[in-house]
Amino acid sequence: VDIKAAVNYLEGLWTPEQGAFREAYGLNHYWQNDNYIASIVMSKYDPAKVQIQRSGILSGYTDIRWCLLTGDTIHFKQTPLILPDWMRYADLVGLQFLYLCSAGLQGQDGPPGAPTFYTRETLMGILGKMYGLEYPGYITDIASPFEAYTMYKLCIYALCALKFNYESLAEELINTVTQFQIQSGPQAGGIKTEYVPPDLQSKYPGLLGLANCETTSLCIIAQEALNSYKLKNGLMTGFGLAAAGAGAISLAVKWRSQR
Amino acid sequence: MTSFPQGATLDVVIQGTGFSDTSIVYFSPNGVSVVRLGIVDNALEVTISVQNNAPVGSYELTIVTAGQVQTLASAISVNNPGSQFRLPVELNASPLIIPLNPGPTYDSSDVYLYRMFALPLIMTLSFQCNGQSTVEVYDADNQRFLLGPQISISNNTTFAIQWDGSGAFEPRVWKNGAVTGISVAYSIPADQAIPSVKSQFNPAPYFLAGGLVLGTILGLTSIRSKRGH
Repeated sequence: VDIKAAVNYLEGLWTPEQGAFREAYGLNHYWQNDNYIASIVMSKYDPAKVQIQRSGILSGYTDIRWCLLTGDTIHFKQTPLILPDWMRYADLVGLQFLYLCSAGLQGQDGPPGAPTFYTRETLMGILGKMYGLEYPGYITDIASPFEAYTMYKLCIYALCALKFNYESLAEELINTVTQFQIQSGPQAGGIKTEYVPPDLQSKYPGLLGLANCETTSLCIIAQEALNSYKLKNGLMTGFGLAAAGAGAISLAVKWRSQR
Repeated sequence: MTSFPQGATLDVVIQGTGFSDTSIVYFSPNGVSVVRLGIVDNALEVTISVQNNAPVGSYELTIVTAGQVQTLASAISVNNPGSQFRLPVELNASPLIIPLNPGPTYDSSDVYLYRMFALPLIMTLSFQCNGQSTVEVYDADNQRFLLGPQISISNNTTFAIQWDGSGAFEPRVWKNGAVTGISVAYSIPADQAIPSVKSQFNPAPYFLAGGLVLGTILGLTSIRSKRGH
C-alpha cells in the first residue's frame, strides 16, 4: 500500500466545517468509528486534525472495536459478549485474537451463551480455514449480505499473522490489498472496500470502485505494522550480527598484533 | 425473522426500492436504534444497536422515504443472549450433549449449533425419550425446518439429517413431552477440521541476543588477553 497516497486520500475526506473525515468521497456522512480509526492514522501524519476531532466529533468517544489497535483492552468490547455465533465472522475472530494477544491471554472460555473454550491457536486456525475457502487470496465471511470479500478483513488477518510471526503471509495479504488501491481520480490513494468476484459484479455494481475512510485507515495501519515488523527484525538481526562481528574483529586484531 | 441479542451492534440490509440516504428508519417499541445508514445497490444498509435492556420480542420496522411511510411488522426480534446456547460444531467434540433449556414453547429453547463455514454435514440427532413427544429441527436464520415441523416420537429416536451447514441447527422439543436428553453426533471431514496454528519461530531476537553475547565474550577475551601482555 502506498501510504503517502492513502494518507492523501484521507486528507481529501477532511471537511473543515465538520471538523471530521467523511465516510467516503461524495458522501456527507460523518461517523465516529470512521473518525476514530482515522485519528489513529492521522496522529502520526496530521496531529492538528486529530486535535480538532478530539475536541469535536471524538469528544468523549472511544470506539469499542478500534480502540484495540491502540492497545486499549479496557474499552474493547469482546465480540463473544455481543454475538454468540461470532466465530462465523473473520473480522470478529481476528479482533478476538488480537484481544487475547494484547491482554496477554492464551485463551479463554466463551460466555455462558457460547460456552466454547478457544485459544489464540484455534482462532488463527479458523482464520486460516476461512482464507481462500471460496476464492484464493480472499477471506470468506459466510454472514456477509453480499458475496463480496472485504479488504478490511484481510488487513485484520494480516495484523494477526504478524502477531504469530507469519511475515510472508502478512505480506501476501497486504499485497492483495494493494491491488485495490485506486491510482487516479478523485478517490486516488483510497483502498476499494471489496473484491466482488467477476460472476457477481453485474449483481452488485454499486460495490465496485468504492473506497472509504475506515478501510483505507485500516490498510495504512496494516502496512505500517508490516513495515515496522520488518524494520524491527532487520535491526535486531543487524545489531546482533554487528555485535558479534565487532567482537570477532576486536579479537582478530588483538590476535594479529600479538603475532 | 432475524433475532438479535440484547447489547448487539450489527449491520443489517433492508432490500427494497426507492430508498435514499435521507430515509428515516426506526424500530418500535423503543430499544433498537439505527446508528448508521447507507445505500448499497439500492438496498438500505443500516447499523442497528440493540440496548442491553431492550425488551425481548418482535419489533416493527418503519421506513420513511420522501414522505412515504412503509412498515413491516415483526421485522426483527430481540433475544436475551444469556438464555441462548450457540455451539460451533467444529470446536465441540462429537457426540455433543445439547442442554435442555425450558422456554415458553419449547423445552430446548434457543439452543443451537452452527457451522463456521457453510459446508454440508450429516447430523445424527438422538432424542432420549420415554413417552410421547413432539420434536423438530429449525433453522431460524433461513426460516426453514431441517426436520419436521412437529414430528411425533414415542421412545428413543435417532434421525440422520442432511444439513447444508448454513444458518442454525436448532433441535426443538415441544413442551410437556417426555424427552429427557438430546445428543447429536457428526463427523467433521479431516480437511474441514480447525487446525491449531502455532506461532512461528522468529529468529531475529535470538540473532540480537546471541550476537550481543558472542560479541561481548569475544570483546572481553580480547581485552583480557591484552591485559595479560
